[in-house]
Amino acid sequence: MRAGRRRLLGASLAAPFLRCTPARAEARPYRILMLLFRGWEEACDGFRDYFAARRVAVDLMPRDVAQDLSRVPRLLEEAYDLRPDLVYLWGTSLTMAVLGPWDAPDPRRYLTGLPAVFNIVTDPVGNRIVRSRESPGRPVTGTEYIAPVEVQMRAMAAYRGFRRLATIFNPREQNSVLVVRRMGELAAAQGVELAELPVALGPGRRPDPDSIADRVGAAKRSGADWLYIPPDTFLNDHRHVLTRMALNAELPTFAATERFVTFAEGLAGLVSRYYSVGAFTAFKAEQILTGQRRPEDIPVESLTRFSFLVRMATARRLRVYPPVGLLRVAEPV
Amino acid sequence: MSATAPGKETAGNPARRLVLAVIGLSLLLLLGTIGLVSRAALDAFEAEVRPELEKEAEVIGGTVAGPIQRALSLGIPFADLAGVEEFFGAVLSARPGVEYLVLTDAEGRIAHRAGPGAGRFVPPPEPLPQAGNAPVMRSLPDGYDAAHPLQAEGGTVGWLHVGLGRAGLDAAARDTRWDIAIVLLVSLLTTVELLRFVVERTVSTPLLLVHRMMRRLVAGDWTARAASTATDEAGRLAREINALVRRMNDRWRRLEWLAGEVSGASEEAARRARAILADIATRFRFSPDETAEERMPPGPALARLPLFLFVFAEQLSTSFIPLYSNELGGSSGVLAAVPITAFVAAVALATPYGGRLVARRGARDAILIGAVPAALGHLGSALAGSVAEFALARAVCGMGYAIVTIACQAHLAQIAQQGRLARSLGGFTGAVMTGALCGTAIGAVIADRIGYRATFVISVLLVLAVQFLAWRRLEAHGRSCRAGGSIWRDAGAAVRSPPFLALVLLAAIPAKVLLAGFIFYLAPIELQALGLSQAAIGRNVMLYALAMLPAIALGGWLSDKARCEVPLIWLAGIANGLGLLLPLVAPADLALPAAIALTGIAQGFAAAPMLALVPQIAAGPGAGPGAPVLLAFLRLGERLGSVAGPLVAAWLLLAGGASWAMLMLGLFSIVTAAAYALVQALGRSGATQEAGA
Repeated sequence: MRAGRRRLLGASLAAPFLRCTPARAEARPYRILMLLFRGWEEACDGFRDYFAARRVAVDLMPRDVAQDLSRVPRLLEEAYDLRPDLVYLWGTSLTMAVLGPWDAPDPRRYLTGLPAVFNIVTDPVGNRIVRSRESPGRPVTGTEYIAPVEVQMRAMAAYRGFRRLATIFNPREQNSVLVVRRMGELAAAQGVELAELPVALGPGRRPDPDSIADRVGAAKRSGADWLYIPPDTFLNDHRHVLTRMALNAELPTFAATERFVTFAEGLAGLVSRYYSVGAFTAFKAEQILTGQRRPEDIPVESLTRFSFLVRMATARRLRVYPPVGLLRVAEPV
Repeated sequence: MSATAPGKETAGNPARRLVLAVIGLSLLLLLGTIGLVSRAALDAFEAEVRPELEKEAEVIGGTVAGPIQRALSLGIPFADLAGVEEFFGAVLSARPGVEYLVLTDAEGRIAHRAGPGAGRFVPPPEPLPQAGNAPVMRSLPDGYDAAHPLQAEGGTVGWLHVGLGRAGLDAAARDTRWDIAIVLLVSLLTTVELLRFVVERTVSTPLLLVHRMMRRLVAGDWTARAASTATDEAGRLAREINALVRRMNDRWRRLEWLAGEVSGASEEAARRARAILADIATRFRFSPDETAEERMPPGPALARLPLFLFVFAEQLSTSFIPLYSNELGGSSGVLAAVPITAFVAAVALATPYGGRLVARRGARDAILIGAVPAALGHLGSALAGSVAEFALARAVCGMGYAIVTIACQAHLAQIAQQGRLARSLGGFTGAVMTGALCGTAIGAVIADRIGYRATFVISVLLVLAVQFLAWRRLEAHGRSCRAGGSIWRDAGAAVRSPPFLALVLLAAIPAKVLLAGFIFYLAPIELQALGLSQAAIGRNVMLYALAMLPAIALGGWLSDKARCEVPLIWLAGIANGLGLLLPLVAPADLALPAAIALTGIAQGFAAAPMLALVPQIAAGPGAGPGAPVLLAFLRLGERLGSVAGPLVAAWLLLAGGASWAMLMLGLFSIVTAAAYALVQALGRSGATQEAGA
């Protein structure tokens, strides 16, 4: 029931990209190799549904690395064997591992010679996936899904003013580290204290889930008005534990991505719906596949509208209610 | 204005009282009718707007109550509603008409409130109904209160009160009232102009013709006949008189023939007949063929109407020329000024040539010629496809404007009756002011209804009407001055005339610098700084024209009566300067309108004497190039003053602020006026000494 409604909502959000006339109906389907970091999820739904709605025949070939980047070399071999029309990449870490830096092409280590689109990626310029958003500098384009950090901070302030912030993140994830660094700069400029709390690294320098409880406690003790959750795959895997602990500590949480609020107990977040971002990515993929534009000419963009999610059950338990004015735009969950 | 000016000439024109009565009665009728219609329009406005206001209160209440209701239905307790004041603040800044927003709980206790009139919120006298979700409207002495119920878990937990004041409605009604008053004024002024023309054409001039004929006959002059083609009573009377003249001349010829017959009979009879004839000839003069004609005296209204219509046509577009430029040029602000500058420059450059054209061809021909570029210019403006084309059309228009206005001015100077020169020439400024006032006000209304281009087409038609009027109704006379000589020689002669130079440099140019610098530049800026709306600023600036119109008539009358042109001019200059010093001693909201009105009065008083001095200077010793050419150079000087005024004012404003700029402009006026008085006094004593020696 819930999934059905979400699909409906996603379809309506993707509608702007579906307005054009249906493209080619018959002819050989385009072959798209989909390299996924943690399995098939909503962004992939949006990507697939876009082509269905546009009646563009595509042959989707998903491959999941299950968060294990050591599988990348084998996937590269497969990609070179298959020679697909397009490579789809999900997630910042996987995209970096597959494509490498834009200014250091190395056909042995990184994918070259095949057009690619990336999806659910944080700061592709800072992570050197592309040269700039306007001009990628290689046959690669894609979408961003995180609202600019200053916009997220304004959204937090609109809900509840703050003097102190705390953030928990995985220091091994470049996407999180960049966002936290940016937030640190902005907080310093605004005279706001930011407690940066990286999770502990265990054996093999892997992040230790057991350290989350300690970090939430530290955030509470720092007197933070908000606990900020950056776009972080490790935390996403442990979102139930994280948000439940924050709730028990009476610490309001604000997330950069959807699942901490929709599929956990986070209080609020300014997010792009994964489904819509997937459809937007498919829109760019279509331009490449039909030969309308070269991928190096297609700018990297984010959606222009974000969803302000508020989990009302959490708000009621914390007795931290969204201001009346915010309810005109917020989407209660 | 001459029709309303009192004086002993009333005896000279037998129809004056009649004309006054007709115009007075017409105005009274018009005033009554328009007054009643305006009253009805205002009532309709009230009736239309009141329900709108109630609806607005309801709609605003609905949009404000929505998010609060949403918060409540999401389970937020009424007591824990957050950010209500901020939310109210955002609504209030977007809706200036809202007096207050008040949130009360179910029992009427105030939980949150905001808005400029929040303190005036009066709780309902009895508890509001607890059921239903329709808003409850209350009419209060100074506004409306709409109470929206807020529900949670099936019951009403609070009320949102939206207060709308009458202030916004009253302001709109006040603006409408002003608009109606302006339309009323414009229709009155236009009516007076038209009536004056019609009455002069059909009543007073024919009667004056008959009156002059009578005086001729009484004086024994039976040599002329009345040149009247009118078919009405006045025309019939003229024809009766002509028949009488013819009969008397026939009798005289018969008498002469009889005398010739008698002379043959005897020397004595011949001597007696000659004595009788000689006796009659001392008392009466006859003409063998009555060839002389007593012509219709050209009245000032005849020359005023074309001028009024012409200026009216020109000013129709004044209010929207910058907007039209933006439309053509794609809204770049700098380009908007180009057509305005092109027009002003063309007028300034063409004015001396216009004066020469009038001098060579006479006023009527000059109007006929000048109307052609004017009409073409308006047509070009209507068809313009770019700012450049529009500017070119405006420049062509400016050439026509220069020629026609100088021709009308020269014409008024020529037809002025003895002892009425200043008043007749004051009629020029009066007609220009009235035309400008009416044209600008009506032009905005017309353009609103039919568009910019169509308004220019109306200007074309009006200019053609002016041409027709000049062709049919103006006398082709007044090729007064020598032709030939270059424009530079004219200019040289004008510059070598000290009284003329003093008039232009010390009176005409300072007056225009003040007018353009203060009225059209400083005053609007300062009034805006006082927080007045655009419409209110326009009304304040109009005060200048309203004050000026009666002052022109009065100045012309005084000048003709007392032959005191020079003192009037420098006294006006000093008064004008003192007016600009008013902000030093009075609060700005009073001083500014007073200074505007005083400027109008002072400039009005000086307008006619300045123009009247020019023909006197032209006729004086060492006569220069003639009155039309000198008038043209006077107008050129005034144009230069108008261009310089805003620049000077802007520079003063930048240098030392508005009060300082007004102080400087005022002192400038006082100093130049005093210098003018001094120069004139020195010139006169010099002339007396010369005469004595």
